Amino acid sequence: MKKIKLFAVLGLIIICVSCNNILDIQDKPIATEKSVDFKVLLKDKTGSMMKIYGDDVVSNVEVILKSISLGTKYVVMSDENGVVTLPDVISDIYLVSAIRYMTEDEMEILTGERRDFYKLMNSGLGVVDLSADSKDTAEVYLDNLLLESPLVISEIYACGPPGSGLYFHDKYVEIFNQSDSTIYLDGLIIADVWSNPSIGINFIDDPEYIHTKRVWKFPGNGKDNPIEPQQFVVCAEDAIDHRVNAPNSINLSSVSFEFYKDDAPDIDNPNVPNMIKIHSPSTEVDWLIGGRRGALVIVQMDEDSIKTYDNHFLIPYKNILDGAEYVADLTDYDYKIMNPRIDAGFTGGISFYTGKSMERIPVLRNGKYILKDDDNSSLDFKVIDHPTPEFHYEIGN
Amino acid sequence: MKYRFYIPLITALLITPFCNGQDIYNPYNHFKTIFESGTKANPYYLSGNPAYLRYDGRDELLSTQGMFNNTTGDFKNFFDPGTERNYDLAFSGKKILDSTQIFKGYFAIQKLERISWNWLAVKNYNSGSPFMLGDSTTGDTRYNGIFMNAQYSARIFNRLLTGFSISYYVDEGLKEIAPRPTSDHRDIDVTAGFGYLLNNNLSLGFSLRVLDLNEKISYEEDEEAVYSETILLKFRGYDLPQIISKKTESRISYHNGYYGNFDIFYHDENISASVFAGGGFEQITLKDNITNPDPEGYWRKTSFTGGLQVSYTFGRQWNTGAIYKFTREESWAKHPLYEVLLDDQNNNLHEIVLGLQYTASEKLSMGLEVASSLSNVNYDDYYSGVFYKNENFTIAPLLGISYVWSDFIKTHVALGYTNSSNNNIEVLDNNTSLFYEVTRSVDIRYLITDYTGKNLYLKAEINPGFLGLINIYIAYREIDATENPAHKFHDRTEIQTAIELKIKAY
Repeated sequence: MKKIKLFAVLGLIIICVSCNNILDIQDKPIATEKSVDFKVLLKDKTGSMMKIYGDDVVSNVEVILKSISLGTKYVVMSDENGVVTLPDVISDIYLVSAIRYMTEDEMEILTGERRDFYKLMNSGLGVVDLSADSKDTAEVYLDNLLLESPLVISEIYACGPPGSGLYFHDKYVEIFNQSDSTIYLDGLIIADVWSNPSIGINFIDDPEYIHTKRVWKFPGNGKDNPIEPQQFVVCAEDAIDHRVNAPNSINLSSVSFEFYKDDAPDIDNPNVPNMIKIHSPSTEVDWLIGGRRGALVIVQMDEDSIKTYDNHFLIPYKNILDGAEYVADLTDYDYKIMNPRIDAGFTGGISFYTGKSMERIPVLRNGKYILKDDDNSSLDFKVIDHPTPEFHYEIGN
Repeated sequence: MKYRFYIPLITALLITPFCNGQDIYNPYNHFKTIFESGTKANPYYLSGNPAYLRYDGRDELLSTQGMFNNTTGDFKNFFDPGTERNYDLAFSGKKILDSTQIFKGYFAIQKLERISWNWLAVKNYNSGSPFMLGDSTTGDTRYNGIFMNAQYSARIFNRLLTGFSISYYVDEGLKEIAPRPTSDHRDIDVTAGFGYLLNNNLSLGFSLRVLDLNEKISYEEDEEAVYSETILLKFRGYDLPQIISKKTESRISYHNGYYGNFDIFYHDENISASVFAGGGFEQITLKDNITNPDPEGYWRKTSFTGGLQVSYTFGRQWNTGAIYKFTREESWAKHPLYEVLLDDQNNNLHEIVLGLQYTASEKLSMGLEVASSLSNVNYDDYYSGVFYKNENFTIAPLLGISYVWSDFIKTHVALGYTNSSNNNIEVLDNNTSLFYEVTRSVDIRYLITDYTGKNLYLKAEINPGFLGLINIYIAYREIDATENPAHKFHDRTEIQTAIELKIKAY
């Protein structure tokens, strides 16, 4: 009798335990959403703060966190202990940008010279995982002390206009000079990042180079193509008035440069200087960047120094002035293709043929507008409803 | 000795979650305790135990039914469609073999139309799960499906009743404007029941029910979607949806339920009484992106239900009936990536129905039934920062008269009134977004709005003397919330019609 009871009890226990596995029953979590204040500690890995202040925590830094799921942005300052606190925030993966603009005094302690426009920032994939079930303080390392780029990609328009079928010939990339002096574009390179993540080709982790198949450079012999301070320059796929073909498109007939592919039946506006093709797939009839996802860089290097690898080309990270990546789905972090040292995030989330464009966000610094350049397109760019070639609403031109 | 075996078994069943068996849509059943329902105080109806199929009140006729239902009005949740229409063409039949075996079958072709439906592509959006998928358009959606149910009951070993009920439902849904999401549903609902006859009057029973409901929603890039932007909305709570510009998406929802139920049934010449108790749980596991599935959330609901129904006949003229039912439900939702609770909900519902029927003559009978319910809802949406609780009391008297005009026609008329009032309302919304302010806060206002309702039911049973029996049924219900103009709701009306042809085909 006792054995029967024992077997019955054991049987019931086995049934109860195995039911959870068979039926895939999950336990009720203890932690509730938004019940804890998230904390992020900022630490300097360049040694600068240790040398200046004797401590590696980075205080008084403006930190921007952006939720991957919702796109909500939080701007917070770190306290004297280098900690930022975020109350009432959902659990999510957050893109983080922490930038500390160095003063001339601080640079003098570091280098012995008074230098301006240096910033200490986090490079790499600026991501923290914040969850209400964890009370650990997340850490973000500021590991890059660098001079700000005078030239930035200020706008990328790639999706095509609405209401005109599969028309997509009005793509362009726009560059902005945010320094105080004239810069010459002659010989500067515009390239895009080559990858195909859907079949496993992705060079995001390459430690030295971006991989590209499309390399174009600005014409000129040194001082032929100046870009003045606060000036925008557009390089268009086809420098024509696209409104003739697509009423909701734009007039690009008087932009600064045009990508003209001389070995293909491409359109050439004789009044607009052509970009010079260095490398471009022979199967393409034009400068064709991705309509919904892609990544572009501005490069300062001699074209003859570009290395060949397999069937494409390599550009060292050290020669890249600026880069920006855009994706079709802002929640799909797995498809990122540009190394986080160049761009820690991505902009976009734009569908084909919606006429939307990606524009860098203007910020006021010392009484003048510059364009936000945290090397994180998730935070540096915004999506606008209509492209604005060689023009920003806040800055003008 | 044998009771020592039953005790742990019964105990296990009592602690096993459970719920009522599936009740096939029956448009004629507006009274719960009197008139036709006076014969339904048994476990077959009260707890859905198919072992008691012998107490199904329907006769052995082949029935063909055509049904139409239209609900429209602005007193609704934000996610309720402006108008909802059901079209059913159903066939059913029952056969008793040598008084120990009973077969019952039901087959229906169904069409459901949701007109002016805001955003959602999830058909069963009222499940309680906060995980919803939709797009930014408001449009019409239709579902075409078939429903089948087979029930079998047999009496074995003299005292043991067994029964099985299997339901199978499939449909295809389509939103008729771009981006034209499609959805497929496949539902299986199985109940196995047992009853043990202690003597001629008293029996014990239990039943186990398993639900398996699958939904697959697909957004694909059709020709129209190429030229237009698709904004997808993914909800995890009242507020803060993910807003994604994306043309293709897929979501699979695995919805499972497991219920157990224990019942006691007593009947003699004058009285019929049934007591039941049980519980169960349902869970929904969601995954997006079929090619590389991502978890999108987990939701679970546990429920306990218990109650009793009594029907008593005294003299030849008076019938009375009473039902008491208690239901407690608790549900919660978990973040897809973290061990974090997104929401927590619980509610208690007490329902009491009392009915009295007087049969004045062979031709005339009349009855009054009063149904009331008291519910407490407590909802904590931690994710959105929205919290509310309220207490609802509803009372609904219903007065009916049945009259036999001749052998040719018998009619039944019922008039009803409903009053629903809310008390102890607490609503707290912390830092909600503009999105919530203009849209889903409507849902909470809807829940706490008092209303009154009027009901009218007409039924005619015609016996032309050939072909078979014809039943015609019309119901009209109206809900009026105009006394609460601050909430900007007005009314909602429902019209239900059905015609049934019963033929003795075997």
